[in-house]
Amino acid sequence: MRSAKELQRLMQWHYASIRLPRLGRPLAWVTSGAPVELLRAAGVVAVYPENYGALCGAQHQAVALCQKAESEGYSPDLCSYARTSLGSVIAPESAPLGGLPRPDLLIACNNICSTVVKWYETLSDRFQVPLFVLDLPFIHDRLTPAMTAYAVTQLRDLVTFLERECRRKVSGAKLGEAVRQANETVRLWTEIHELCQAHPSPLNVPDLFVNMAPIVVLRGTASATRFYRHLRDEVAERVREGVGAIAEERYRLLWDNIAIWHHLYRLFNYFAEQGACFVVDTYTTAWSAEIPRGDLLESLAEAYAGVYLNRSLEFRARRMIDMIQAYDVSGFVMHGNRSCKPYSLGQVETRRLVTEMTGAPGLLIEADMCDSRAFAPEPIRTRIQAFIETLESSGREMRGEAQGERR
Amino acid sequence: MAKVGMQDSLRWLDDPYADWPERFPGRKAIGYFCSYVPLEILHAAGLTPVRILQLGSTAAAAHAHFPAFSCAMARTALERLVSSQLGFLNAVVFAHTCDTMQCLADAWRMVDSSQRVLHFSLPTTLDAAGSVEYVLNAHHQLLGELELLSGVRVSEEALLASIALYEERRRLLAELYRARESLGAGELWRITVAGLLMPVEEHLTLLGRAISSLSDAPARFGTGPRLAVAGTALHDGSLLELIEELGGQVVADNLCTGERAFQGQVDLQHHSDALAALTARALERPICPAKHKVGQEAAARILELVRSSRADGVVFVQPKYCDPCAFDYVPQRKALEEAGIPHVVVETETGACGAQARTRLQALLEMLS
Amino acid sequence: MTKRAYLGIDIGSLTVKVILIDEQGRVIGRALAVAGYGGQQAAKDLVAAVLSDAGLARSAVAGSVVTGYGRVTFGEADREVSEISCHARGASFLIPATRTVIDVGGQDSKVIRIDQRGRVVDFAMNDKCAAGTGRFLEVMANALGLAVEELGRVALVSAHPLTISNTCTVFAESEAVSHLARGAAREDVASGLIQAVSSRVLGLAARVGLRPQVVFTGGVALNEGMLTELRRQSGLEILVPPDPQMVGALGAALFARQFSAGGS
Repeated sequence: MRSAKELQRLMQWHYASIRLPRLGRPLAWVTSGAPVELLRAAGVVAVYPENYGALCGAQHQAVALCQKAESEGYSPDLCSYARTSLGSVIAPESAPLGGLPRPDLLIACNNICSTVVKWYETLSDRFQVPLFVLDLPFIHDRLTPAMTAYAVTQLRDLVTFLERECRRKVSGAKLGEAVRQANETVRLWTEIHELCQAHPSPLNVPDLFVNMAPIVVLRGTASATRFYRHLRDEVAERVREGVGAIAEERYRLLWDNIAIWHHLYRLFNYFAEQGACFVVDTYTTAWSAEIPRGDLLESLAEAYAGVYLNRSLEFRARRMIDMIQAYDVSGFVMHGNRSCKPYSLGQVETRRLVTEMTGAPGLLIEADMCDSRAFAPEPIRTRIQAFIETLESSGREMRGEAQGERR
Repeated sequence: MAKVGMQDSLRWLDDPYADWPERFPGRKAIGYFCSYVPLEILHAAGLTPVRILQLGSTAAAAHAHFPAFSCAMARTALERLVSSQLGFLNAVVFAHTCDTMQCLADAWRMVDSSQRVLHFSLPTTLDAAGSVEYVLNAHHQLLGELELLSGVRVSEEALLASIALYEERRRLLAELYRARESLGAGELWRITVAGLLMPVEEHLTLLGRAISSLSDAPARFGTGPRLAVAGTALHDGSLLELIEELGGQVVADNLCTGERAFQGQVDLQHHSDALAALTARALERPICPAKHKVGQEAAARILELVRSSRADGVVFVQPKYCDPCAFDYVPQRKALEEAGIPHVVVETETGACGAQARTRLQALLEMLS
Repeated sequence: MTKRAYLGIDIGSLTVKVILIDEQGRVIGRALAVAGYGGQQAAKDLVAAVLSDAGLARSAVAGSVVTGYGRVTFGEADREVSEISCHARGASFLIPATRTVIDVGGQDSKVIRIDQRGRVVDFAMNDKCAAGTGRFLEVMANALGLAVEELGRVALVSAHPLTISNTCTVFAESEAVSHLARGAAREDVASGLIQAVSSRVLGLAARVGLRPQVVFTGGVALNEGMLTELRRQSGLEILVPPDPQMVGALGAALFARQFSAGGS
């Protein structure tokens, strides 16, 4: 893709810029679900250990770092992003890029999981820097006024915390601008997703996994917005020209959970060789909610409390069902990610429900997003092959214009 | 002699859910998992709280519903649900504890849609801005749902009466734990856990009997290296008995099936009403590894446990796949090493000890002799 | 004529070891046998055999200690002591400079740090699902059509070890078999397996710290390939005492002597 070069430059610039002199601006390690707009408004430099973990996984450097963490007593059953991150802190000389720059602040929001609270507590202890935990209660049924009030109170407290650490006021104008940029980025990202409703899909999910980095780490910046505009244009062009991501799109699939970073292309190429393209997924689409209009803190509270992983299993099953219908999907694959309990423990049940409601068969494969020691390629290959055969025999193959006749 | 009688009368702990309605007739049972659930409210609504523990269940199965990389407590509970052992429960209360229990709460209804599930939305951070209001609201929400479930309006008087009973229980348990040397850790575990499974009124009777049996009991468990046991829920008392068998004594624990379950008082003097007082207890009592509170980080907690009990060594009971325990272990180990306090980890699925765990415990005691 | 002797019995999951020492701590009897089911009967028979070979009656045994997996149900010793303490004691007796003991047995691995008196300072044992034991090597050797001892020797020949990374023994075996199926040389797979086990053992060791002099005991210490690889990966001079499988039983016998003299 043409935009690949721009992506590379953008991410290289991000990792280089975080090491530049910051003229007194604090640097914060931040979780992927934290309201970064507030940090942008405060002038805090945001760095993402989860993204760093994915990078290490993709470069096959995660296992060595996990082993460093394990030799200090961290259980190998803990999240591999956390183990990789802690390994890079214990032994930065062995870590890609020498690890991440030392944080001045830590900001953890548990809307994605509880592990981040424990992980960041450890980081706070190791670096002896302040930690702010943004506690957003899990939504089993619905977001209640009490939850919103609790979130808003904490966000106000976060603003106070940032103002104290940065020794200046959080600019309302800057916050508004960061929110505007973030919303624009999210709008473009959503458009890119929706373009994949085309037959054939212009993108396969590894493209989405690779291109999601800026929306995670550069959300709220003009450069991220610019990039996604270019990407959207390129993808729209592909749709106009009928260019598909894979040679022959026989099966349109949905992917659930984080990517298997250390086996990204090999895995999806194996599917592609059999004509299977992943046209939509639940992970990259998690950054799809715009921050609503109205009181800024309340809107931020709503947007961040309502993220995909903070929602019940039934909500997620419904979301998958909607996607299957909107994207004309005939089967789905769930990554049973040992590192991510909130994302994975419910999959046995949601898989059953989704198949029941849509008729689409689902495959559940156990692996780990970063730790390749928990991945067995041969047995997984066997399961994938069997799954494709299931799709074939149940008549779920795309046959040119005849998709409407399936199901 | 009283000890033998106690053991016999608590034999049902091996399989407590099987004949629960027969053992406690005329009661409306409500299940729960977490020691943060305010039992006083359940009681005031006319329900009998019954904690769902593993208790000898080795069926860490439920693979048809939950992946293997989850704790056995969650999987055995699900297995019990699936095999209809929990049909006697009118509902189940899920407090928000950890990622696994969060998923279990949702999966519970998906596995059995007839299940009535109530949520106690206790947040992770207990000292955040807005914690007091939110936790108070969580108590109000729970009360409201219980009133709907039971069809009974719960008055302030009813709440106060229930609190009085549970405060009395906490007082008696504290007294019993002070006599650990006479009673033994295994027996204490049985008496404590029995209380989590029976009506509080009957438990008060049991506690009274146990306390009076102590008057002439020798302190035969008071010798050997002093060990503190750290962790969350202990689903099997044999680990504690093994420590005693190997020549050690259990002098303290921070288990939520042990001391931590009854720590923290409901202070009605300084709070306007029952729910406000219950909220304060929830926020101020010693925390679970799954909670976040400044000043109660892992290292601080373990050093306090060791210091206050004058323990010589620590036994960590770590359920496999328990992330909070696994994270806490690293700073706790470092703190103990710096303080020169030896420890071992017993990684467990059922709470009981395998051969290797026995070796570890024995080696620790040998180091301390 | 009243010769006093002390018995140390180590009932492991695969083998039973018996050591007989005299008052001065000299080894006057030694035997090893397959444990069979439970190890109890094999242990009893072995004790009888050792005493008979030494020309001693049971009454000459002034004290006995049993250790190992099967110690819990063995009723014929005076005391039971953990294999942690016994290995520490035995290694320290044989090599006084010992400060770290690595023991890889059939079912479990242990790393023990000791002080100058041979007392245990810290230890770690393998957790569940950690493929760093003798059993893993057996399974792998079998997959390669080799005896375990051969596995080590064959590995030494390899110039290009292949990576076996999976934590799960079953999947690691399938990795090894896949390599072979794709035409990999047996010595390269063997070497990869040895590397994997060493890495796991040293990972365990990292939790207590490797302090020189490091001593390697247990049946796996006889495996040349493992010893070479442990030395290479750790960069340390690791010593193997003579008769490394008997270290636990020796430690047990030494404890028997100590208890008999009134020491705890």
